[in-house]
Amino acid sequence: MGLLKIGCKTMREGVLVSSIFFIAGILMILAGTNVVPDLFYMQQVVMFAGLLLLLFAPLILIATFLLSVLPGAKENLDKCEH
Amino acid sequence: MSKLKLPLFITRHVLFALLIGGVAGIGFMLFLTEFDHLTSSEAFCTTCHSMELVAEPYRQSPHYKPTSGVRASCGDCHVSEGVFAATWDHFIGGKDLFKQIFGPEYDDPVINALHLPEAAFAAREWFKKRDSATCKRCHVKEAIFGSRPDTLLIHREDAKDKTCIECHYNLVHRVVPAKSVFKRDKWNRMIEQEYGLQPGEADKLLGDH
Repeated sequence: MGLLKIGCKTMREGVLVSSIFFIAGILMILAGTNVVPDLFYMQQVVMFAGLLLLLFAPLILIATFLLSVLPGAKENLDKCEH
Repeated sequence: MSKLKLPLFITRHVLFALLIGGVAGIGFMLFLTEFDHLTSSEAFCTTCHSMELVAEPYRQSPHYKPTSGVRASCGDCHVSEGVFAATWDHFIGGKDLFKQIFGPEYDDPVINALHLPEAAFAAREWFKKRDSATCKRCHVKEAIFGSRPDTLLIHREDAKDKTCIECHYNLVHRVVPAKSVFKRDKWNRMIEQEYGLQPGEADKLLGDH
């Protein structure tokens, strides 16, 4: 149940990790198509890893949002600094 | 006139979050669309040599050289329509990349031909499960008049409860018999003859991989 508890720090971490995944995913896909050499399926591997990161980005954000609206989370999040 | 009560949760921070989230969401969708477009192309698919072996017969087929000039690329047939379905197909397609790297030597024409039937059966099953949705991107059953008098009747009556792939297969890639009549032994002997292998070598190669 500890995993379902969200505070100011975890909420910010969720948003930050999601943003990092999103940007890293885009960069990896772009790198896979333009920069990475065509050696031992490196292009495809980098692109696929990029796709995974890109898909996980909204999932993390949605999970963070859902945790923040769970009953009991309001008390913790109301104390967050703006 | 009663005053309109605005929700209190809309603050400057919520506005910022909506703006950034909205822009990121649009970017996400546009990027996925472009990604699916790129990874559905023949140029991308044939970056793996094993796919080049499959693409050779395709380039001789009417789907590549149609009289109408409407060319179907790899993704037009093998990737579902719509950005989410296409992304899902590409995500699932990651297993093929895994097999390409860690599986049998598919780049070898003999190994490729030996494994082709299973790939063909899986592809046919994929089409059947989706009611040949990707065929229907271009082909409309009700609009198939054909040149023979019974073509229209067959498609309106006999094939009423059937999906395209149940009758129309072996149109693009190398001919593989229907799963119900496929004989592995016969196929292996044919490959041995085609590539000048010793009798029983195909079984050995298949067993090794």
